[in-house]
Amino acid sequence: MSSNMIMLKSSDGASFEIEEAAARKSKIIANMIEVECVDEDKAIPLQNVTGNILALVIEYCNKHIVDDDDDVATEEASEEEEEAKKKKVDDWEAEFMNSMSLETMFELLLAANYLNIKSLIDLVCQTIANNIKDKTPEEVRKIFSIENDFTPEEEEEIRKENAWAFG
Amino acid sequence: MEKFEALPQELQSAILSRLPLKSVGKCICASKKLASIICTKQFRDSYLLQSMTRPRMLFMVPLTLPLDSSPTEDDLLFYSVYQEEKPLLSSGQQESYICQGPLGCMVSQPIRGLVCIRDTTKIRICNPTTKMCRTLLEMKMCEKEVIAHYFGHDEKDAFKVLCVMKMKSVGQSQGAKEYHVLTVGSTEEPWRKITCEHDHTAVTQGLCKGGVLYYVAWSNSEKSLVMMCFNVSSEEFTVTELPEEVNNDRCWTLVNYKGEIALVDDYDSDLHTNGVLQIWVRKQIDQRKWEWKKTRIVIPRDRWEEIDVDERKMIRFKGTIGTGEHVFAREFLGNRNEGPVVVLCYDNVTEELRRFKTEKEFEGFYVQTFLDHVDSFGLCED
Repeated sequence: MSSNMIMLKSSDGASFEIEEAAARKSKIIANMIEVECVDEDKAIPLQNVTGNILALVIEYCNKHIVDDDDDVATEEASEEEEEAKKKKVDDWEAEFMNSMSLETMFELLLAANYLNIKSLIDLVCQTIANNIKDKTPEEVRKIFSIENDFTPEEEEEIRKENAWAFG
Repeated sequence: MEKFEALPQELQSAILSRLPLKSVGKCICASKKLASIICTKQFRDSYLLQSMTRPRMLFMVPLTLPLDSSPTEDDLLFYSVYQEEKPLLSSGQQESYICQGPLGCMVSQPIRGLVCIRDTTKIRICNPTTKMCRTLLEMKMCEKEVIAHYFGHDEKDAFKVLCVMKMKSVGQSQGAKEYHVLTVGSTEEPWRKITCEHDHTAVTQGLCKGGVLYYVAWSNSEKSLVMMCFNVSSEEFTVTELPEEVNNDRCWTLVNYKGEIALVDDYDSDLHTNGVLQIWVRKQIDQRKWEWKKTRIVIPRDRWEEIDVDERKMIRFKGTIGTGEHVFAREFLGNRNEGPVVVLCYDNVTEELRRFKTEKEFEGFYVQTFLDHVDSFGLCED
């Protein structure tokens, strides 16, 4: 496994060194490496991602590249080992998302989307969704800072139409 | 950025599509903007695809109502949970009630979130979660009666119902049958009579897979059981022979076994006493040929005996789920017709047998358990 290091630079000027294999989790960066527009001495500028969010993205990529390596090394692993490993990743992901504010999650989602890291998009979307699961419309508005643009009559009407959701 | 609404719409959709159906229904009532995202065909299509990655176990329980209650009461309970997520049988619980009709009803296996309910000659397509129902045009029966109905999807965009009818004056296996098909649409579609050269009497419920409806039937010409395969798109029947051992003395059911169609005897006493179940799996040999392979599911004796004797007696094999586990469910709720549903999951590889109970306690005579139900907005779009 190559341990080439590449540099990433956030929108607010912070530089991060990351293993190429980890950076390849991002389809955008992988493409840049493929078409050789990565100068070894120069950092890749990521204009849409701030330093604190990029640090999280890198933490995620580093964790997952290690896991992918493990998978290759123990190809013959038993089903139980596979399951234990999957549980370890799940636990890590739960812990990773656990302390994050909703605001940070939104920013992380935008970064994951911009960098095109599908598994991170899935993880963040599901975690954000869990915040409003089984919540009332009032709670959803509060959690997502959504303005209620219904008139009282309209709201009554739409609640009647969707009464099934409240049963 | 603090607001959900500042996200690009595709990401808002991606988040909303990961919610259980009832939660999405509540989001519709949060704001006009959210409602406008959710009420698009594009969102509903992607929601269905996302839901298919999180299949549900669906339990249907006809409730016992007091004798003086009117038949319009919602007395058919649908309860579902994510079938492959932990904690098993308590993740993503959803329930709803619909009316089953004065004489009770027959409910088909759910397809893409919808079920087909028949109450004698009245047939409805229902979304058990949103309670949306579409009543199909009533058939002109004259001296005939419906003996079986099947619900299928052509894997493109059409749901169809197949009905088998016979003359009232003759027995089940006598006399010619009539086969009628209806395409479920937004307008009132007519029933169309189709021909089947192979006169048959349906024996089992249907299982729709890959655009083909399968069911076991008694062939009136061969005088044996056969498997009928109805191509939902072309509306053509083909007939497949069954192994000789698959005869009329048993109570056959079709299940999904690791992606293949399998025949199970619902009253196999070897399962109930010894934890050994013999099934027939339909294996593809080449593009046009299949064979039936006898397969045994053997649960180790000590594991099986950990399960209460009474519980073992009432257990039925329901098929396999995405984790590779075999699912067994009880058809009854216990001695007093009340309590939770008990489900057993057996993993062939680790030989682990796990017992689960639904969090919900039910009241009713029996439970029908379906695998692979999905959350969908089916029937909502028009």
